[in-house]
Amino acid sequence: MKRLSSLILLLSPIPAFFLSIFIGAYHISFLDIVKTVLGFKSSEAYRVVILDIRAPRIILAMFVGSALSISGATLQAVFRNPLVDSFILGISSGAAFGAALGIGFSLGVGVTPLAFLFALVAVFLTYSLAKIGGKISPISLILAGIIINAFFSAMTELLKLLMEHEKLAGVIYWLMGSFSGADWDILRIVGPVVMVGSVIIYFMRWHLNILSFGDEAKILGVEVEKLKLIFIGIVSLITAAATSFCGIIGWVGLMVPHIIRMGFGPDHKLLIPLSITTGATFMVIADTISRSVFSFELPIGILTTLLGIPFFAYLLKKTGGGWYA
Amino acid sequence: MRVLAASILLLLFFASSSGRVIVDTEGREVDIPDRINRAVIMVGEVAELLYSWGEWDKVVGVNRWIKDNPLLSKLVNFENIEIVGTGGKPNIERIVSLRPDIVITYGGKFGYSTPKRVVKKLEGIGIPVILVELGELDGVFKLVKIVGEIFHEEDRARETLKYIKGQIEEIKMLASKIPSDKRVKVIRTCSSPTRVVGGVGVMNDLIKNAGGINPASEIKIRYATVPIEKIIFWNPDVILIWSYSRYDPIDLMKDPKWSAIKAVRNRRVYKEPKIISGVWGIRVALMQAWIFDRLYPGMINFSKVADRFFRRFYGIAYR
Repeated sequence: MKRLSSLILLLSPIPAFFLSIFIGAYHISFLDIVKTVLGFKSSEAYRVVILDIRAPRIILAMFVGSALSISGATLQAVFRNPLVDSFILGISSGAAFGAALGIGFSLGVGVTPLAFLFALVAVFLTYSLAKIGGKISPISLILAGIIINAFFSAMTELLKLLMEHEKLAGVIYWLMGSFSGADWDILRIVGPVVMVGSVIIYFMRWHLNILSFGDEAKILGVEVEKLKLIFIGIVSLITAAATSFCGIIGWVGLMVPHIIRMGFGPDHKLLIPLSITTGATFMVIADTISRSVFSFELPIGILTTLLGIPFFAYLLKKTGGGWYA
Repeated sequence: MRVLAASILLLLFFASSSGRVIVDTEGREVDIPDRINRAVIMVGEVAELLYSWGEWDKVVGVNRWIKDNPLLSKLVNFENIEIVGTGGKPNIERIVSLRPDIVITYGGKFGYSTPKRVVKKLEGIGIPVILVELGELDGVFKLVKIVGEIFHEEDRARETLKYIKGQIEEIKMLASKIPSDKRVKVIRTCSSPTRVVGGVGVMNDLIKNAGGINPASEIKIRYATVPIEKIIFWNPDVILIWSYSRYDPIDLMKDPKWSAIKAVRNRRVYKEPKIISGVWGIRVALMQAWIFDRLYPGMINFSKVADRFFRRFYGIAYR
């Protein structure tokens, strides 16, 4: 049974993609969509909607969903703490600050590069602050993350104060996260970063099992701190890339790995690939609802939270949490 | 003796009744002094109006953004005028220290609205607060009238209203002659290209008056972020862009996602000039004319309309 359900989850992005491509605010018949996808002659509007808007948006949502889930799963193992996701490193608040800077003030630099830059600056600060005596403990990381998050949140609030209300609306919308800006150019950047990062983590997933032992790993001769640095580095890059293009989409990184862990146990051999695919599928479903149910767009962050909570709550009740690290 | 007492009483009666009651745009009754000599103005459009009526010397404090107002920054020196924060985050101490006779600020429940507890606090100290929240185009007219009453400029307010209403009526009249099959579909985008003006508010009214069809008016809110597919589905003939947005017509015209839209294909994407953007005040008449000119080019001479307006109210030429 578990084998079957894990297989379903592993393959789930494929049906999710095809389901999502047929749904949207612009109603196009099934036949026309098939024709357009296969490259037969169809209207210019159909071609743009399906190939330039829906397809890149679906793929971007998948990459971001994967990136956030795999990052959460990785950091939860590295720090042996069920409550961390990649945003604890300060990525979200750093990116938010960069975005607010870019949206509110004409600096001649785009919003995305600034968000990316400050996301990494925030991680660097958190990491440096958490490193005490050449070592990072889960507690010091979380405290450092809280400090850096608080700092950048305060700075973002300050920027928001100085900003006109329409620009403020732009910042608030950015903070809620959205895939509405998705196009092939964005995918050409986010895609490779997330793919390379995920592949590296996938091949290194054995080490996550070892890191879960904590200090015992050291006795086995593992260079724990070096491994931690590698994992944090990769996770930071892929989350920062995802966040700087799509804004802050909360909960996914925390929730998806937990759901998988409760269902399939803590072995990272399975946890990592399942987090990748489930994160992708979950995000596509949430985004499809976000862009098609109402005449206006629902912020994706609201949907990921509302959709995820019932599953999470159900599994929590049923399994008692399933945290075995 | 009795006569003296009676006349003192009579004097006291007149002294105490020198205040007046003004009903603001939110329908609140506000007691204000008869003469306003010191005013804190948080609403840019009100500040513009006061300048145009020669009442600028009564302004002692303004919203931080009024300093950047594209019109006022050309006309006045802000050296002796205190900045008292923004509508949403006013600095109460600074406002109180200016000992204003009145504060005119934003009502409503938006980011720029002055919080109700700040309003209460100011009123508790005895500073009357007029709240401005203009839902629809009628709100602008109401505001001009109220500001006229507050500053005893009823005559100027009447003349001003006559002018801007006349301008808007003229456009409406021209627009009414456009046959329904020639009517232009138009969307107006805001802080992001997919954030559009919905079916509520001044902008939507102006589009309607100009003979345009705003397909986003099916969404009954002031601003809505829609999926871009929706915009392709609407397929507007013209796209108007908010003057302060971070993107320009060229950004939409070179984006393949926008390429199937008629407005983009025919290069009918326009950004509002900053100098006419300010639809909560009398410049609304100009915006009305500008929108009409963009939707149906050649029917009016917009530069002439704008020049007449700026000379009439601000004594300057357009451009």
